Amino acid sequence: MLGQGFLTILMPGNLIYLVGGVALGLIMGAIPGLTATMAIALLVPLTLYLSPTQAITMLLGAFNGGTFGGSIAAILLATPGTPAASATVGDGYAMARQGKAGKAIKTALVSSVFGCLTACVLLVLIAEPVAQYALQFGAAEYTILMLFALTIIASASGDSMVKGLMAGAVGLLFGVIGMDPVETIPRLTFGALKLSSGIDIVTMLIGSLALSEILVQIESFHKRKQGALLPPPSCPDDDKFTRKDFKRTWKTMLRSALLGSGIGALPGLGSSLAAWVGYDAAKRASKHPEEFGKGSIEGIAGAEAANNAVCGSNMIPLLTLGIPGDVVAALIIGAFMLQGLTPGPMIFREAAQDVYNIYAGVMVSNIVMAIITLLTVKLFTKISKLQPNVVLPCVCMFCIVGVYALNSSLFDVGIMLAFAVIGYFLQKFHFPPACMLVGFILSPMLEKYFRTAMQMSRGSVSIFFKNPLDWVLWVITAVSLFTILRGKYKRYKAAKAAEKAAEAPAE
Amino acid sequence: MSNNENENKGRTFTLTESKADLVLGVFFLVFSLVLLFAIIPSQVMDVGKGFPNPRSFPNFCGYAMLVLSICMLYQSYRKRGKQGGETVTFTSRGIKMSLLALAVLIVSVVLLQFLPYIPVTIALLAGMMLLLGQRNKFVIAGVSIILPILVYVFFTYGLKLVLP
Amino acid sequence: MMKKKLAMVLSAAMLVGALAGCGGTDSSSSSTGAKDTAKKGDFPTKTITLICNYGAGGGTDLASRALASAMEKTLGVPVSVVNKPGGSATIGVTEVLNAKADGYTFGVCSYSPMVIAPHQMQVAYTPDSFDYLGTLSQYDYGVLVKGDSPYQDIDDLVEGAKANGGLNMMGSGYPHPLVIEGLAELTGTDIQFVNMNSSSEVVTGLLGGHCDAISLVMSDATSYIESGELRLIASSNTERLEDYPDVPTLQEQGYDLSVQSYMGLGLPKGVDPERIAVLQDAFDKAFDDPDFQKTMENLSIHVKHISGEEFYELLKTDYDFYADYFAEKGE
Repeated sequence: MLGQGFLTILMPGNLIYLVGGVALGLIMGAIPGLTATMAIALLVPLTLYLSPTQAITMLLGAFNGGTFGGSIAAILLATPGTPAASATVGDGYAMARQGKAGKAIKTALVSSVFGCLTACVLLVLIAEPVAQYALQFGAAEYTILMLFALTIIASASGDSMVKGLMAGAVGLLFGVIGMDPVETIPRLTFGALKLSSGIDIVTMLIGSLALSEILVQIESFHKRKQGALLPPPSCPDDDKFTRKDFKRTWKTMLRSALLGSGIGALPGLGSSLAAWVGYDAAKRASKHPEEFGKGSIEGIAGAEAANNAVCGSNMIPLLTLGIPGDVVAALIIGAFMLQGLTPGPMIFREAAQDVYNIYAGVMVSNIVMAIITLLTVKLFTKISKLQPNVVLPCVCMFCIVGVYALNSSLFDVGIMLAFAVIGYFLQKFHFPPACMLVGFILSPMLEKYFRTAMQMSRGSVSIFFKNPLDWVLWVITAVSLFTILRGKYKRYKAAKAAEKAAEAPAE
Repeated sequence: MSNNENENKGRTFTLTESKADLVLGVFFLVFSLVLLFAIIPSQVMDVGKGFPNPRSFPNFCGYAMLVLSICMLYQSYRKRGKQGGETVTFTSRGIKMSLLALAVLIVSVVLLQFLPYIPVTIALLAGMMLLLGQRNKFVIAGVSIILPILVYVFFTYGLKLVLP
Repeated sequence: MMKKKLAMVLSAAMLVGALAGCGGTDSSSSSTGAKDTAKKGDFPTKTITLICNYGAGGGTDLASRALASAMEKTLGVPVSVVNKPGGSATIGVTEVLNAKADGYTFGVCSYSPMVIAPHQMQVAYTPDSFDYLGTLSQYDYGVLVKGDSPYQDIDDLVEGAKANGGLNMMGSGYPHPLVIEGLAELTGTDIQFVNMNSSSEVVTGLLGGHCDAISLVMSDATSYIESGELRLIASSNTERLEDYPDVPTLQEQGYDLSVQSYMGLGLPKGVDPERIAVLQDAFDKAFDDPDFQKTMENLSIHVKHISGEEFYELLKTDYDFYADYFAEKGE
């Protein structure tokens, strides 16, 4: 059946929609402010007139393309094109500044393709059991998972744990703005109706990462020579993804792909979280953790493999149970329903061939994405040769336009500017913005799941220890915390020893 | 704090690591106190149903910030007198440029409330490019006019999104 | 982001434009038939905006798009759906309130943000702030349990609550707490309403065994009932549900509870009556359009056409009801 699926997909009539979807996704992903989610939302109405195969593969192609496209902007312009690319900005942009933009983009591409294909394999082979496992996750289990994710903040805090945690706390606080998840009353909204649904992550992302970076660059403008935006590659290898690179990163890719698939299969989490978890896992398993944040290839691989894995695995709960794993999946359900198909167990009986077409479609979309990117990557790297005083204003414009287009709201643009200022100060004072972002992403989820769990258990904490899954999660969290603290302790001792060595000659 | 007068335009303002931490520590201390005792109570209704209620989480964040700000102050104390490390530097010229850039952005956004998209964006692009030192008139004109129009076309007809 | 990329952008735009062109009705370049129907005078002559207060892809959004497509056929101009979600669906309604009253903007004024939300948060409108075209659909609600659950009806559920010292029931937003907490109050048992963000989370929660029963919008439940994963044990409406005539209502089972909710459409007050008539005509005709009917069937949405005046009366009555309800609860 799968073979038939591939044949169907490769028919020109269907293929063109797939390619169109991927292309549109790539473009919208690469433009700061426009996200993969938006690309899909725009395409859904078009699917009314297409066959199920064409429709869904186009949407999934756009999702895949969009998630990867965001990384291109992240690498070249320090602007994540989509929230899922936020983990790629740090190392991607750092690599670009070393002249290795080409390598960075290609690493991201390979990792993304790898991640999505891995997820697809899982999708085809073991969707059913994975979905059943996902059902086991109730509010209590999610809470523990979120606590684990919080440890990522600590791990991502770089040299100063205090600053990292502080940024995380600020992020958590920003996440509170909006409606209380349980009582449905507004919090911290200062009476503004527009704030009552909270701050959009894209707005915060673009403001605090992209615009603040631009402000910082502008500040040091008079010092720099009027050269190109980014330095050229110092050697041909810097433009390519070599075999050596692959040997270094394949384990990371595999690890992150599996993590990403798991996260994508759990409803409610999303590709941004997957990116961070993948990045963090790569860092901890790496032999060179100090490189992370300064241009580590493993970092990019880790983040990208995970976030594109979500593209494949969010179909798992969708197809087997009819439950969307994230916003994108919800939109896709809408598209299914427009076709008169209902995702869920019945779909395998009603339209099994369509489902296999879709599987094939997602896999092929990766190849399409790779082809398109490789053809156009020279174009992208040309951007780095342009003069910054032209590019930066254009990026600003795209940020404004993109954020406005999200919700047709100038208010959002205002918020974005506010975050630009906040992000600027964070950067000047050496706070890791990543921590604030992760805190912001986690805050609503953590709080909602915790309070829901407490509600269900009538206030008793025992709900967090009820079944074996809980214990497993607790252990993972504890181990995570432990390794971070141990790492910190080791570094502390090393620094102390270095100080002693430096002081000794003076005596 | 060392106020250096550089030969090239403007002063440099450098905070040592210790002083930077001090500033931050004080800032966050004040902020978390204001948060805990003024903002949260006025913003979040106290439903009074006990733990966990709408205030719990924000309060938790506030207390965390309080503790962390004290840690920062402590770190500041520990590091005093130490030169080097992560300093925070401001140059007056740099700040002027950033502020101007920010001002241009803010003005554009405000203008977008009243004027349609294309003129404002043209002004924005031209303004910023001039600010950042671009002098080539053709480039300025070319980019500031063509780009907004292309974007407009793409968005309105391709994506069916409405621009201001 | 320079010239070459723009070339790509242009070509992609053309590709999308081409796709949109294949798509047909909601392309702004295909209004060829627009100028023919000159009998309406000079309204409408340009795109009309339909503001949807829920996000893209959801039931309300898809229904809005179906309506938009159908109305385009009568009006001869594009009807474009704009999503303004958020604030418990009040932001979209507020947008309609603030729109120019020239007949070119109207939007979804659904039951919950009109009648319930105003008592929980500050909103700038009341049911008196709009002129209504009527309702599109009725939201049906029901109480469901897992397919293999021992509970056959509400009585069993209540027994279970008493035996186990309490029960958890999930629902996402209003009006579900009315059903769930209503049951708790009527029976004096500890049935706890657990709020989730969306229907899918509610269903997942039930299927995963994290709660004992749920209150759900029927359009989200149909596929699960068909597959046997969920079982309907009560209809929360005043009547039995068309598709499930064997399942008694809450009231029939002895519990005096019912909830109903509608997706209605409204205009800001002050629009010229002639223009309202044009829109009203297009709206009414939509229900006869076969494409519209088919889409609504695909979406499992219960089409219900109540007139604007009736809807307004309903909103007013229930608005006052909820004012009292929340005052009693002390919120």
